[in-house]
Amino acid sequence: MAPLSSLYVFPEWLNMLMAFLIGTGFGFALEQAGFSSSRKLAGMFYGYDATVLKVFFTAAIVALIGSQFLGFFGVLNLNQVYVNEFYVTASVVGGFIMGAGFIMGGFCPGTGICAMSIGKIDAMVFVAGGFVGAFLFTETYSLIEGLATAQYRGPVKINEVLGLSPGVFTMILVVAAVGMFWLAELAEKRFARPDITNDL
Amino acid sequence: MNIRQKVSLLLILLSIMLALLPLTANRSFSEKPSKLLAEVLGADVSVTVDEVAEFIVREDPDVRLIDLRPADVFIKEAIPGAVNVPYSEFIRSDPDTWISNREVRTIFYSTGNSEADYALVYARGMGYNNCYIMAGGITEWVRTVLDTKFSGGRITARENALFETRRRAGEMYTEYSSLPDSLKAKFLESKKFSAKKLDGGCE
Amino acid sequence: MKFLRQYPFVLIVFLLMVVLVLFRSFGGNNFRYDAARWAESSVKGSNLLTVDQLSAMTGAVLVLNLGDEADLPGQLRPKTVIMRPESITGKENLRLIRKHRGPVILFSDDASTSARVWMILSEMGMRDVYILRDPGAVAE
Repeated sequence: MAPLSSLYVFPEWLNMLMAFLIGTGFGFALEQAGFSSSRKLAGMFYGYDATVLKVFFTAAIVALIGSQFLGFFGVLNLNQVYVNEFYVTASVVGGFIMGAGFIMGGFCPGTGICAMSIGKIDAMVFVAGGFVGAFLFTETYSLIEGLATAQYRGPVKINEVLGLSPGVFTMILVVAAVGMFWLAELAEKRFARPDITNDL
Repeated sequence: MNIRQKVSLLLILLSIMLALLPLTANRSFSEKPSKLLAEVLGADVSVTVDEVAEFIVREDPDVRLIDLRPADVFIKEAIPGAVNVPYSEFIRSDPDTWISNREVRTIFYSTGNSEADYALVYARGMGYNNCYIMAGGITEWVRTVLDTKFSGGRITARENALFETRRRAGEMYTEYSSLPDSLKAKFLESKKFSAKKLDGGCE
Repeated sequence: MKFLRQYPFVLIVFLLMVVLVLFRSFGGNNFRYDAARWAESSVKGSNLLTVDQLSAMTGAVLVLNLGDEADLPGQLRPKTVIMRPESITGKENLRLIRKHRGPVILFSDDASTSARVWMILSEMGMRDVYILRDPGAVAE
């Protein structure tokens, strides 16, 4: 069995409907986890709340383990899973800009939209800022093209660069993630602040 | 014990199991062995050289020929319209790159039969039921299409049509194969498979 | 193990995955994981044997005659089993092939049949399977 999309041709409206349902589910889960609060997100930076780290890393390792098993059982063709292309300079510069925007605005792009849809005014301003940024990026692209495409490495996988098998790399990452969760919980105790769950 | 520790423990155990498995990005056969065996031993997985000659002459867009011979042999002589995927490359990469289009019939051929036979089972084992082989390979092609001469006095209309197809396919083959290599390389470059570029990404 | 028994949920999911993985890896009537690895010897051509190589082989050789009877030189005939190619994935035949310790030689007057059967057997995880090359020469 190959991926669904290469076996069957779905009508456009069904693709759109599925995207809508998955997106809605994702937004709902984010809101449920309290990610529409910028205090929760900023907590990662100050060390009093590591929920962001735990949620995103858990999602990543669950998906990693799941896709490896699905590949092993022949349900998922891992060759057809999109691998992000790696532009070294752009990743470093973009990472700094994104991080600064994250801590100043109190949202990441996804949670910003999530918070906007429950009516938070700061999130609306944040998303508007995102659009302005996208507009400026497009308009000035010819000026920064050299920077954006510098040191292109193609769709590389970390385990291939390190020369590890996918399974061994998965194990190392999972153990590292669990260790990180443990450290994060220690930090949460160290920098504890009053519980904000009821204010959200 | 709280749920976080349980989940962490489960994830660690599963990842240890993954570390012990010989994981690769390669794919595996998905059909049942007995079903696949019956399928590939049947007569309808092979196509005769005469049928292929007809596809060539009609320039049938629903057929794609895949030449499994090494690249240096392919550049010297090949059936017009065929695409070269050396057998070793075919096995070592994802066949989806070449035969994912289920709207067309894919016909494998090699020098004799063996490699086309392997490729046929390999492709069908992964569920690509649009794959066939040209029986006898290039050897049979040369023997039947190029080397048949009309002999004898009378000829039926059907035989006449057959010989006409063979003659024209043979002409196309010779003409194509006698092109200078540089010209051929240019022509093949335009037909080369560009590995499907996947869209995607996330923010 | 006592440690694990405190977490029944973890234990159940883990054992379930172990069973599934074992079944995928060694399940009887199934194709093995990683098709390219099992097909590799056909790329190198090391799955082909000449009649001389076969005659020089010592030890237990099992020759499967997939075509019509006869055709094999006298000294090989006792080691030969006649098997209809379409019944090779039958339970009894598979057991016979799997239980045999030593090389299994496929032999057929139609080279296509042995090539196709070879690919299927080798994808089922049988390493020591070879094709007898040029069966025409054997008859002479």
